[in-house]
Order: sequence, then C-alpha cells, then structure tokens
Amino acid sequence: MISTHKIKKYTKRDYSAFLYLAPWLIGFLILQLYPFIISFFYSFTDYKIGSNPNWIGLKNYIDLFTVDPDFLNSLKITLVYTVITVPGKIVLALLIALLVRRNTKGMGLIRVLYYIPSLFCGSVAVALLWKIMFMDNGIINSLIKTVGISPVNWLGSSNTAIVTICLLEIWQFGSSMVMLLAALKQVPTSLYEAASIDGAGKIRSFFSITLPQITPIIFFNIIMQTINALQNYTSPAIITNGGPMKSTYVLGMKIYNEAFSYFKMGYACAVSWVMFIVIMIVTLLLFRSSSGWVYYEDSKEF
Amino acid sequence: MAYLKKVLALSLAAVMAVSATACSSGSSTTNNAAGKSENVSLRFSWWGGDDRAQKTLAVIKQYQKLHSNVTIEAENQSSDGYNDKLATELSADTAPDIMQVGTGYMSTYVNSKNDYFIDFNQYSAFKTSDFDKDFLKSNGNFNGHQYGIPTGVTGYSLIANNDLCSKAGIDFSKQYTWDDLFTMSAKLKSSNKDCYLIASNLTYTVSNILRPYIRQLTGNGLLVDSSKKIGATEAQLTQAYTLIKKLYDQGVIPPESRMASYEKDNIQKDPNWISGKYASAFATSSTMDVMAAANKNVKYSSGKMAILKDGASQGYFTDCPSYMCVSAKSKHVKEAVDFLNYFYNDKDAAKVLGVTRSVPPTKTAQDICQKNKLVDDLTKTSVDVSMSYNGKSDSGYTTSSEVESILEDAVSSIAYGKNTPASEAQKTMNLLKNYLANQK
Repeated sequence: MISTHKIKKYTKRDYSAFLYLAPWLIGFLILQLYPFIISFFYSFTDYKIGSNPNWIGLKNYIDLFTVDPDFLNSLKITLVYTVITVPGKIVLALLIALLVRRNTKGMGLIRVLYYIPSLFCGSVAVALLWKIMFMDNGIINSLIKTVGISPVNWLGSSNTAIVTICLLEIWQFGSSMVMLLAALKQVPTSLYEAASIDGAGKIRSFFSITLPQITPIIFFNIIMQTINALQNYTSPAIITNGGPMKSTYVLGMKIYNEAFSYFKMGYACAVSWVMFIVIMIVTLLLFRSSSGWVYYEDSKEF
Repeated sequence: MAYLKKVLALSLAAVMAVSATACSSGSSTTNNAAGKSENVSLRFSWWGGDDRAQKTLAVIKQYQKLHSNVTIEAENQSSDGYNDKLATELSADTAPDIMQVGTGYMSTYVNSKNDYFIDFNQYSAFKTSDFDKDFLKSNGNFNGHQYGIPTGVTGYSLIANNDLCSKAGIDFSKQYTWDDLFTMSAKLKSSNKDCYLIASNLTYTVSNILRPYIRQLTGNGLLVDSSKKIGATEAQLTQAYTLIKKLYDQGVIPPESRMASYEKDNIQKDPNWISGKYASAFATSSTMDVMAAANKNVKYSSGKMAILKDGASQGYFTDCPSYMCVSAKSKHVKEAVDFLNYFYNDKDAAKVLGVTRSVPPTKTAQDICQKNKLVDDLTKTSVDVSMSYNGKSDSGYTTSSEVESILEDAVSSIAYGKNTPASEAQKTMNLLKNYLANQK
C-alpha cells in the first residue's frame, strides 16, 4: 500500500528539480545547443564577419571537396595525427603503468612525475616550450650532437614537423596512465596464481590475463583520445603554424583560420560539420569493433 | 509547491538579468545628471611591444590629468591575434571606443558596408592642419571619408650590415636591380661562404620581394580592388615566381627550412641575424630599430631597395603602419575624438610617444622628435629612402589574410622545390579567381 502511494506521488511533475538544474540547463541551451544549431544553419550560408548570412545551399560543402586545395590534405593530416598519437600514447601509458604498478617506497613520487605533463594538456606555454626545444639550436639538437648524430631540422621539414607535433601529444600520457594503473590493480590476483600453477610465464599471463582484463579501460581511452586528437589545434598552431608546406595544417587550424583570419564563418561552420561527421563515424566504427575485443566480466552485452 | 515555483521564477529571472548585463557592452558609464562634467570611460585598444605600451599608457595618464572626468581603459596586446579579436568585437558591436586598426584590414571593414567607424571630417574638434594634406588623403581616406588617422609614416627600406658589406665590397647605397643581387651575392659568398645577402622568411619574401616585384612589373597590385580583377597575367606571375626560385636556389636568401622557426615578425631572432651573417634585409621603417637592436655589435645603415629594369613603376611606396579609428557605436564619440586630437597634436604627447608608431605624421611632432633626438638616424633615413620611390600601395584585397596565405603557400612550395614556378602560378591564378568570385 505504502509503495504504490509513493509511486503515485512521483508521477507528478516536480518543478523544483528545474531550479537545481537551471545553471546547467541555461549553460547547455546558450553555450551548447544554440551554437550547435546555428552553426548548422550558417554552414549553408555565405556568412562573413561583418555581413549578413545569405542562403547558398550546399555550395560550401561542394567547394570543400572540389575547389579548396587544403581541405582533403588537412583531413588526411588530422587522421594521420590521430593514428600515430592514440596508439602511441596508450602503449606508452600502459608500459609506464606496468612499471609503476608495484607499491615500493617512493613510487608515489615517480607516478606524480609521470603524470605532470598531462596537466599541461593543450596549453600554449608547453607548446612554446616544445618549439624552443626542437628549434635548430634547441636542446634536443644539442643532445643529439653530443651523442654524435648530425642535428635534425625538426620544424623545417614536412616529415619531421608532424613527428614533433605527435611527440608532444604522446608525451602527455599521464591521465591514460592513471586509469590503466587503476585497471591493472583491479585484475584479480587469483587469476595470476592459477596461471602460474598451470605453468604460464610472465609474458603469457600478460597477454592472456592482464590485457583482456583491462580492455574496457583501453577501449574507453581509445575513444576519448581519438576524439581529442581529431580536434587538436593548439600544438600545430603554436609550434609550426601549420607549416612547412601545410604538412601540419590539421582541421582544427583550418577551422580557426577560415573563421577568424579570413572571416568566412559560414565556410568554417561547414568544415566543423564535416569534422563532426568524421568524429561520429570513427567513434561508431570503434564501438562496432568493440564487441570483438573488449571483455566485460559481468555480461557480453554492452 | 507554489512557493517553490515562485522561487524558481525569481531565480531564473535573476540568472537571466545577470547574463544579460554580462553580454552588454563593457563601456557602460554612470551618466551624471549635471551634464557637462559627467564621468566618461573610454576603451582604447592597440597592439605592439612593451615600449609602445609604456609610452601610450604615459600619454593616457597625462590626458586624464587634464580631463579628470575621463578614464581611459587600455586594452593592449601583441600583434598576434589582435585583428582576429578586433574583427569579432566589431561584428558583435562590442568594439572599443578608440582602436588601432591595421592598414591591410581596413578596406575589408570599410567594404563590409557597416558603419563601423566615424568620419573624422565631420568632427572639427580633430585638427588636421598640421598633417600633410596629400598624406592624409591617401592614408585612411576612403571615398572622401576619413575613417582612420594614420599613426605614422613608414616605407620600404633595406637595412644593411655595414661591416659585412664593406668587407665584401657591396654597396647598397646606390640603386641596383634584381639581377644585380645575384652578382652581389656571389661576391659575398666568395669571401664568406656561410653568409647570405638578404635575410628573409616567408612573410618577408611575400611582402618585400614578391608583391613589390609584381607592382614593378605591372604598375598595380596583384589584385585590383576597383575592378575586382587580377592585375597580373599568369606569365607575369610565373616570372615573379621564377625570380623567387632563383633567389632560393642560388642562396641569395636563406633556405625556408632554416627559417621555419623564425616566421612572421621573428626574423631578428634568427641566430644568424644576431651573429651578423646576413649582409642585409628588406625591411620597413617601423621595424628598422628592432632589427638593429638584435645585434648591437654591428653598424647598420639604410640602403636602397631592388628595382626592376624598365619596370612599370618602382613598386615601393610610403604609407602608414596603422590607423587610429573611433567606433561609430561609441557612446562618447566627442570625448574619443578629443583624446585623439591630444594624442596627435599635443606637444607633450608627441614628446612622450616619439617614434613608437614610426615617424609621426604631423609636422610639429616630427620637429619635436628631431629636436629631442627621439628619432634615430636609421629610421629617419629609411623614410627618406622610401620617399624616393614612386610606387602605389596595393593595400586591399591583395593584403587580406586569405590572399596573403595563398601567396605564402605558393612561395613555400617553390622554396622547397615541390612545384615549378609555372604550375604554381597557374594554381595561384585559380585560387585568386575563386577568392575574387567570393567577394561581394
């Protein structure tokens, strides 16, 4: 009797909830939903800063794929950047997590030291530092020289410039490391004990126990890092300014330049929407693939 | 329940009110009922280095002492991103009352058909009697409307490293042609193998070599604003690109891969410039002292710029580095104009400002600078060099950032040897056609 009464009460709309939701709701409506919808509208117009938007249909999208000399190149670079940085970052994070897993004295400090770089994630200051380090007469080249290898022109050649940018992203592996570390600690020790009784070596038990057990966290990291990498802007903008010869001109930079340097807001919105679709497709593909390799202890369904 | 609804409605209203005031322009002032001595606060934005900031702030302080009811809030930053910010503010009606505007961008604003700026001709409080009439007419005047007041006089000039030049027997004080550069460079390299004749990065190559060369070749800019047409033929563009390829190939200018770390206005940070391994650089009067300050061990002098034999014009011109404008949306146009009048015409202001925005445009201020030795010889002679040329400014579509990056891409592709001048010229022509088609 009591329980049904309770249910009845909660079928009524409780307006006071909106009061508590109001700060988020207002932020969401003004800062997320409105720009989202209006940018979709602008992508079909010739909107420039300082003039009124006129409807031009699909022209922006057609121009992107037929006239624009940079768009496909930018798309390719963004994908290359993602394909290099995401696996690189996760493999490095996993390696370091395995190294700092043990609870010996001073390990806390070592973990903190490895985590620090990711606190600077996306910051201009660290990108500037990176630029100075990799410049012609920077510290990296001085180090290389002392080893006896001839210095590399990191920022001046197309092949090495993209590597320099990728290295910065990979270096900031801290947050992935912390999550993987937590996942590693969750793996039941009974499994390892059983494996060692059956005569499995360290390498075998890593690939047969550790890796499958932490796949949900690896999967989560891949999704988050991929979305981040596809949206990257700061490091190429500060370190190489998209050069040399547009070899680091990622989509994020293109959107910024079209919008705020060339004032072509409508066109920039079209690029953003293509980027949004690319991110959606990549994420969907990753989710599709997950049923094949991600292991959930509680059920096979996700 | 009813009570909660009331609370909800009230708090929502409060949030809306707060966000609404936060969105409105920042230059809100309390209007005093007394009228005449009402308190006025003005926003003033400019870009530039530390030296310029300190001098401008000092002038603001002087002005505020004379006008106790006026407060001027300085919004200064570096040149990087200044225009992006200003463009956004202008279109959102939140622009500062007084603003420094780059010459290359001004035509975009004026062409956009929004009345962003006031016409100084309609405000007699701003005294123009001390300006050179023709200079004012060709700088900041658009179809008879004086939307901007030029902040100074600047032009193209070469900065020569005297020590290196005299050792190698190179003389930049006499007029020479583009072809002469190759023999001069060979002369320099025979005695100093790792030296370059001219320091240049992408930005410098485009604005100080490519664009002047096209102006010399055609007598006008690459894009002609009035007819919305390309002012050069594909053959002429190929010729210009071929010159640039030759300059890179023969090492007259340093390889682009070297300069990648010193792009835009960072050329003087190149260790080779600091250690005096460049014989010269094509520069402008407003950057001469910065270039010279980077290496104090060397004596510098201004020299001639390269010209084209039998060209349609000499290609170089004298104009201004930026304008001062007053927002048409400002609530206190009168006060803003009065401040600028002080900024340009007052003797105390001129004494403080010196040549921080290049040689000042008014006669009185120029005399003050000369008398108080505020202007160094290098800057002064560089203006004289520039004045001796008869070229016309190509500021407008050609200097818009979109066209600028089209040209920079082409030059970098040539510098790296990725593409031939002919095919790069064809590509540029197509991109420029597409750019012009999108301009309304």
